Amino acid sequence: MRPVLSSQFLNPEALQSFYGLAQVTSLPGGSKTHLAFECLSVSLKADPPAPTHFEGQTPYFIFISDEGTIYPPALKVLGIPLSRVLTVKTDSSDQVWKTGLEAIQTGLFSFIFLRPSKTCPTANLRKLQLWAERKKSKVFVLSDHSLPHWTIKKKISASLPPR
Amino acid sequence: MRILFFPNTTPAFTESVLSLTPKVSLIKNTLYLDIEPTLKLFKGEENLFLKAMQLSETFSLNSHFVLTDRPEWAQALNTRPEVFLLPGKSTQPLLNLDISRLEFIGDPQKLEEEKKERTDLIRFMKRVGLKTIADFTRLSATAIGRRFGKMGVILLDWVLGNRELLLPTFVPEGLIHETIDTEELTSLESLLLELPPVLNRIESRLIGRAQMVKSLEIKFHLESKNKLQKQYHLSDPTQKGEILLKLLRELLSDLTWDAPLQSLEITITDTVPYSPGQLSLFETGESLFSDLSQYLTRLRAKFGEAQVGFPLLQESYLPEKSWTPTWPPQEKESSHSTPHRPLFLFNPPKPCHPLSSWTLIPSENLMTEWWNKSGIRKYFIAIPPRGSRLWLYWDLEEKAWYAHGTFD
Repeated sequence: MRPVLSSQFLNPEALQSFYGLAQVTSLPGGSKTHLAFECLSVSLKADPPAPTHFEGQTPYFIFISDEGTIYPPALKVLGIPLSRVLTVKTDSSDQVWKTGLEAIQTGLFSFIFLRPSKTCPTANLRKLQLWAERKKSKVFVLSDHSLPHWTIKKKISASLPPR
Repeated sequence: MRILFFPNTTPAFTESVLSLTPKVSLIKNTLYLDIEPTLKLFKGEENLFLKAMQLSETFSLNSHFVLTDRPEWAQALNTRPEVFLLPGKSTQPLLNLDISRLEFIGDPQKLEEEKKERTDLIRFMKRVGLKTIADFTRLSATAIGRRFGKMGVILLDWVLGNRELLLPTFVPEGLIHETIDTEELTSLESLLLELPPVLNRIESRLIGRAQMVKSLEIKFHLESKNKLQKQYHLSDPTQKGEILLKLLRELLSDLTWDAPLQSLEITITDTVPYSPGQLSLFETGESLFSDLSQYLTRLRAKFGEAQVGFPLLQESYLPEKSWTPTWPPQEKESSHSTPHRPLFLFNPPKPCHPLSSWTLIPSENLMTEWWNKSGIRKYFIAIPPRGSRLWLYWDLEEKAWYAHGTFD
């Protein structure tokens, strides 16, 4: 099965300068998880690499979900180093948001992927947004639920490639 | 020689003072520290003494102590709570003591054994008009031998510092164990407030033992006589109480009890030797890794070790067994061909009922290990007219559909 959206649709420069909350949704047939990691892959391959506070070393990334986990062999195909991706499976969707906020606050991760099964209260989302901007983290919320537009800096939809 | 003597001690406090000097002796409930060898390390007697006092506060001991020149004099000089004698200035206060204090001069391991002989002798000394230890030392050794016998001569030798006292060195034994009585506590917040002093004690004991915690066990004793037991492994061994506090905070916030909590026991079940290392001031990589390790330890305490980690690929065609979460992260080269598998897997697989309108494209057949109940899975890529594509399988044993992953 081919990925539904390839990196040619992503603008690496825009991706490098972006920080804050981005919602990734799937249009019918699209893959938001694939698209989010495609963003990471593009960012890793960027030449010159994006400036980070990790001083020349590959930063760490975190994927948090309550429904399941990423399938690492498929992630490796995208060229993402598995030794840099921390996977966390939480007990509930609330814990996804809470752990996501903690992950941002630690400042240890440059890309944070949240895949909750349910949305979260707006106040918590606002907190997440403020911390993501303060820590200059790229936070990808992989959710098809509608989130308040003012919390989301970027909205990316994974769709089928145009014929 | 400089001796810091504590008339009342506990084995836990004794362990902690090993961080001040290796020459520590525990005789019954009394503690003798020979601080001379480490005075330079601590930049003077004052600093070392203050550290010892801080430790005694950590273990809630009363601040009774004697700082003197010789271990055999320490018990005799223990006449008031705090006796601080400058180097070389212990002899005169010793000589000024009442003659009855002779009972406590000498080898502390033999005092109990010689008690009767000493008290009889002291009674006799008093009868012949000796009031202070100075009166006793004014007599010649020959006169003392003639009047008071062999014990009299031995006592004179101890008073004059003519004998060398060798005390056994203390070696910590057993596991580090602390108990908190929680009967009076009414909330989780109050329990969390009780934890820092306990963890400070654990930290001091670990420093004394030169060890770091690798795993710990927590036992919750409930009023219903039930015991709740949890074992935790630290991904990055530590001595620091504040790291353990963060870990316990995570753990306690997620736990519920079916009856009031009566007591909480913390036992350090496994340790590793302390490796002195300092994070470089200019090397962010080391400190980043250390911070990550601490964060991961907390996450693992909260969600379990199997749910948190860096993926390590394994040789297995079963999707759920083709990797395992690990710490520290390892990069293992492995060639997995996964053209038909999705990027996101449900864990556990969700029961599913495909509709007739869905298109099912066969992808692969997998056999689980023979010792597992369910045997053969037939995988399909399901394309519903609307919504996301799913990765389904038909379990031939259970005769049921499961969604194992999603391509969304």
